[in-house]
Amino acid sequence: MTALRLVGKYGLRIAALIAIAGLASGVLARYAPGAVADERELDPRLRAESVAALRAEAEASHSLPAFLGHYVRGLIHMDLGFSRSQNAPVRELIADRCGTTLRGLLLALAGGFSIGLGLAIPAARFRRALVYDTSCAVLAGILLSVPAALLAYVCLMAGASSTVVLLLVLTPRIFLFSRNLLAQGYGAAHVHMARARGVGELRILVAHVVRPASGPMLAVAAAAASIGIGACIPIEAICDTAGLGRLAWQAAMARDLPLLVNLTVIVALVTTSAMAVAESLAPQEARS
Amino acid sequence: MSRLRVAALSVLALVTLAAMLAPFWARSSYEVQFRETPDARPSWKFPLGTDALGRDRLTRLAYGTRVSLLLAPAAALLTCLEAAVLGGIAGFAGGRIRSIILFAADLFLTLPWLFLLIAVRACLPLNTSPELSVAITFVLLGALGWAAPARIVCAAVAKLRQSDFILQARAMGCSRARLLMRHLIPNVAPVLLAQIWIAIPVYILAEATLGMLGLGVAEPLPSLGSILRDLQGANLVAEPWQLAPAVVLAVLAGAFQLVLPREDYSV
Amino acid sequence: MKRGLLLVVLALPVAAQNELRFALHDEPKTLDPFLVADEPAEAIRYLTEGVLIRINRRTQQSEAELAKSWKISPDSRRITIELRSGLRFPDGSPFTSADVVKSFERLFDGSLHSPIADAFQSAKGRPKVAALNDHAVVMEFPAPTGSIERLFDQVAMVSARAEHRPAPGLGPYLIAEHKPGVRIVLKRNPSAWKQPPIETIRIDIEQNRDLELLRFRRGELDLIDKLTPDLYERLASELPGSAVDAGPTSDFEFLWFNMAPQAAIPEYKKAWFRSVAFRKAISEAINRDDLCRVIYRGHATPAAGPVSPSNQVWFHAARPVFDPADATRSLAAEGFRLQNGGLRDSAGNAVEFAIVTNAGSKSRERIAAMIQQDLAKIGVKVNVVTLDFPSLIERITRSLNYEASLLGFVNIDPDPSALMNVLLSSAANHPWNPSEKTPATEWEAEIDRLMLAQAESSDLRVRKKQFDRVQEILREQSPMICLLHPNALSAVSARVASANPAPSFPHTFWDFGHMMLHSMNARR
Repeated sequence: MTALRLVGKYGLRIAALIAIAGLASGVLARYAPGAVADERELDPRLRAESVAALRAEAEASHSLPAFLGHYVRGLIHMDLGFSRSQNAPVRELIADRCGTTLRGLLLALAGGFSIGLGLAIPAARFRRALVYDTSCAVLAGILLSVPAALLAYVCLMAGASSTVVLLLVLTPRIFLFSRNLLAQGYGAAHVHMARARGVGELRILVAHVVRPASGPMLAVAAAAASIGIGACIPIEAICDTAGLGRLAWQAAMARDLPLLVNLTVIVALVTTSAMAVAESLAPQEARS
Repeated sequence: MSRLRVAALSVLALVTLAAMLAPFWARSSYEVQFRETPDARPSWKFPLGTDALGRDRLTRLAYGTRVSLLLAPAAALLTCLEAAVLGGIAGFAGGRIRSIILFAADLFLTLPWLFLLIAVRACLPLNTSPELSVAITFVLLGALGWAAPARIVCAAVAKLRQSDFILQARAMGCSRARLLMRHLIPNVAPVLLAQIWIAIPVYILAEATLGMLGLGVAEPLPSLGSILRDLQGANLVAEPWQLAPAVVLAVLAGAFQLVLPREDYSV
Repeated sequence: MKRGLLLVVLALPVAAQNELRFALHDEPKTLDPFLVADEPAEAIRYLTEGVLIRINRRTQQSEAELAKSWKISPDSRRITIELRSGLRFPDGSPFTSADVVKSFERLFDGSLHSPIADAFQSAKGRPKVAALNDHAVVMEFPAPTGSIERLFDQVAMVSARAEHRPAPGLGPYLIAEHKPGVRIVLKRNPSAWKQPPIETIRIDIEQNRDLELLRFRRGELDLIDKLTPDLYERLASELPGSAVDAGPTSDFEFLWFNMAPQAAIPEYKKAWFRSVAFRKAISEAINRDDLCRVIYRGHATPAAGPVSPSNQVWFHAARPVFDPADATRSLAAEGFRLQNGGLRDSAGNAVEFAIVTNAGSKSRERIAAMIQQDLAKIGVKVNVVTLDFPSLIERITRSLNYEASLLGFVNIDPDPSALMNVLLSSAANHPWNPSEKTPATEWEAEIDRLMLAQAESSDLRVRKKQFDRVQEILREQSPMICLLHPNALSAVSARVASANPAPSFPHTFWDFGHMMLHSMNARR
């Protein structure tokens, strides 16, 4: 499917999802307990009049309709609002941290595919090598069985970065899916034919196994990206990486309305786009 | 491979038995503080040592595992019931209804549910017992986690709808209700069962993550997540026994995954 | 080959020889020196703003900074300050009395709601500031004010001519780089009246304390201003010389009950909380020694009241009482009865209440867990509820939908007037019953009278006597069950010389005028 048709088919749906997600996060942020509470009110130096003034100010600045109106108008000028908790414009905060998260995610995906595919190819090719296959599956199972937050903490103590944690989260998923996909490819009749006719293993791998599986592989990459974005929050919060994940965690704890809405929109955009890509690249019979 | 599944089931049974029978074999209750021996090393009296408040780590680990083993399956069941209903309707009806339900599923996958959990926690009545509070957390996880299984159920039901025996049943005048109850649901049941087994370790891990982020169970009730939170600040090299809850968690989650039939890819 | 190796070695990242490195646990909420309300912002203000008079964090004595000298009138209503001459702001303009007057005008701007401004204000209003000449100012208070000079420690002197605010001031350092949420780099201010030895300070924003300790052990950080007791013990065992216990702070952890009449809790619970005998029994049943020993590893002092024993001027000697047997007797005298291991009041209601505290503070969660166990021994059931901070603030200040709360008090100033907006019954931060229109009880009325009287007195002995009586009333009535005073635990690397950690904030870098790095010493 061409990119234009993809955009046409999924564009409206993605836009609607993002709009509703942004609105929902705004409602949650505004009406959850503590939305208008200000830590400054607990300052023992403040007199009663000052505390009352702070409270009135907080109530006035937390009107959701006013915020949404201002936000939509601001979008035209790329003004995403001001973060009270971080004391900086939201656009600046996101621009600063986007690179860190994106870089980490891309490196983790690249590493995950390198390692995952590297381990999956022998497992798929040599189906009777049960020891190798079982060992890889057990290792993948162990990594899948440990929460991302715990992996983050252990890696933190070992001095590893949040990228390494993301790599450990994504690699087992990529390995398991790739192994199954490639094994199906190796089991196809035409591959047996090619081997019988003396075609080399490398050519079989590239031309007859990997190439037909490239669509679903891209779908896996999209799904992995979606998983990675979700895992970024606990990982960056624990590893203290200055990325979007940690920013989202801080925004949630501080009830920072502008930051929460913007970050939800970004996460929704990435997640829904990834799902759309995955859906469009998945085999036809799986999409009915 | 079946030997591996048997081994996984045995491990699960052993851990479950040990956790459920904790009130009988544990030396003391999980909240008792032996204040003269905080952060004690493993000993005969305390096989896994004590925590910062002098509480027996092994007892707390057993009770914490109990919490996960009782509530995660319940949450998984709730999720799969929702997925069965919504995914089934979507796959069966097709067309606009399917689009609406799948749109809702995508929406559920993109919303910031961590924030909702924080908000719900803050709204709970003050004297909610720790047990009820953790049950509510799991119910919430279960209620919110239907989207991904629903998509799978929808795809399975849609595929079945096109199968020969269903077409034959419809051609023979089988009513919708009968079609659903006699033909679709029994054939979708294995998919649902697989989803339950997949969801259980997911919810065990989700609670553990929430606990590590400080959104876990109230004192003094232990959970795997709140116990794992104690790892922060610990010297794991000098005190490796503190990794016991991580090992139990990995074993539990791994065993649930191994119990699932491995996809047979032989042709 | 050797040259190549040398080049490689030189290219490796090393700490700048004259750069001090430490971390703050959060991004400063503001860089406006008049709006500082959180610790990270206070740290930046301390290092970048010039003040007239500074309090020595070790000796608690007032020291001249931008002021050369000062004189307080006998009636404690006027302070005349002579300024240092020859100082210039970074924009080149000279520092004169006009800047002092302008700084106070800005501070007292009603729209700012500055907590620092409120510290100057009394019931009779704000002081007036006027310039006597280019290098002298006078401040007149509407009523006598005790410890006037201590108020100036937090007031930054800003240039009257600066167009943008905040603007570079006369502090020891200037902000050279600021990446929100990541780092702040400070460089020595050429306009400072006294040049600090260290040229650059690199401050990282590091929320994870384990990572902060890891980086300290790796040599990437030189100071940790506040260590938790767990991490202190760990560091002390691994690098004994680096962990420093500067002694008890003026801060305290305390528990209080919701006594507000409009509180959204059952009436029978309000009756318990209003009973002195109940509150005192709860206080007596809590083992503070265990709290200090188990949670703080001995790095805390049991508290009988809000004043720390380290505050030698104002502390009114008393030991907290731990007597569960007496607690049970007192409760029995009030009509409470033990039934099947649980306490019930005279109407048969099970004695059970919830303590709310903030999630994320391990020490506080542990304190709550230990109190839960202590009170279980006298039949009281306690539910511990940890909430994220905004939700907690909402409950204890607005909805008043809570039963008991456990929080800490950060005492910026050891002077009793620092507790004014907590102990006055009309104060919004009066924990157990905020913003009372009139004192609800006689003892609260007496506290109001004594606190206002000591604030207006200049006689230290009279003030001491009045504040001693306040402390006695607090012990008798136990509206705030003070639990402990934590010690100031910090870390100083071997690279730093003359750090001299103090119990008051900022614990490690307060003495920037004398702090040096050993590499600098070697060069000298």
